[in-house]
Amino acid sequence: MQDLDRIRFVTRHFHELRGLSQQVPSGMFILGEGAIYFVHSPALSWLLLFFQIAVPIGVLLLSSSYYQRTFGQVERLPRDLPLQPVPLSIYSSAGTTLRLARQPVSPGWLRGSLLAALAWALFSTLRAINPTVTVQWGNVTEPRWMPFLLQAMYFLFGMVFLGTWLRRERRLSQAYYLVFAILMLGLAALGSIEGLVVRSLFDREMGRAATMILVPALHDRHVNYIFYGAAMVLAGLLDHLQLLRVAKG
Amino acid sequence: MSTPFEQLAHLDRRVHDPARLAILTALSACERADFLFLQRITGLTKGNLSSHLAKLQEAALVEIEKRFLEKKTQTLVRLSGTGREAVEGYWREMEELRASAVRWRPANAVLVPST
Repeated sequence: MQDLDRIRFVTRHFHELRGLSQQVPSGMFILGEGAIYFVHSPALSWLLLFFQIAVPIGVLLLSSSYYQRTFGQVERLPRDLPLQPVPLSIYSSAGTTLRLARQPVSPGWLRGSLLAALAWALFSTLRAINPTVTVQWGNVTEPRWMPFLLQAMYFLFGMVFLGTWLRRERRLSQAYYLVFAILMLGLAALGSIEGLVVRSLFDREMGRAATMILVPALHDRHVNYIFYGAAMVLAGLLDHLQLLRVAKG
Repeated sequence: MSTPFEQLAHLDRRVHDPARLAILTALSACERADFLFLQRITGLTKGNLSSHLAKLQEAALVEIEKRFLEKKTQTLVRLSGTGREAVEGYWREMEELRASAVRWRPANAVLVPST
């Protein structure tokens, strides 16, 4: 017999824990988008393209019937749905007329959004007052907005992971979302002070090696795609494993 | 004031059974679930699950609907209003029981300092 709390959690979040149906295919696509840039052999590029497009589409198509056949069906409580039916003040012979409406915004969500906006304002201010780093890839100098865009993406991805962890009741078994959120938000925060970091590190032997890792992570969108895609695939697989472990029959 | 043992004796037996409690816990976290899901999540055999569901239906704690899906019968189970109240009441009683068990001392108990 399963522990009651785990039963309640898995039943309530059954749709989100079906990692193979959304996160793994989307993550594979994003991961492939980043990885293909670093592959120079045509044969490997074709193989990667297969893993980027054909495999995720296959997984997407098959996963729905797999989950239905293996784990059965669960209908969410109206309060857990993003949209809920609300009665309108119009009555017909068929009964009360309903329309779908968004759930009311909770105070916790508002507080979280406000904190996120403040954090983003802080990151942007730090970036504006600190020296910036411009990278030259071969003969091409990167556009000035690129590091800002990548920092925004890390911030957004970090908030997505953090939001997922909070929505899933801040459980220890879901802590990988928190780890990915810290990694992404950490990179966004580092982007704000990278000029200072690079300046202080670059003259030392170890520092130069560290900047060789740090700078591509903050300036190359393909590295950004690899981080986010890999995190999504991993999170989806771990969700799926959790579902398998709890609902093993 | 009742002792924890008396409170324990008055717990709702329809809910208190571990297998039925697992079924009701799962159903309280969703609108409705099918037989396969309940079997997977509780780890019960088909026969056991059927028998517990029949008892819960008899007690009007769950509502069962059968329908055809791709030429197969699908059994959908939902917690009834009475069922939801029974589960909430059960957890309230368990909380009270826990609190009174912490407070409880035997009537003729004498505290002896340990040597």
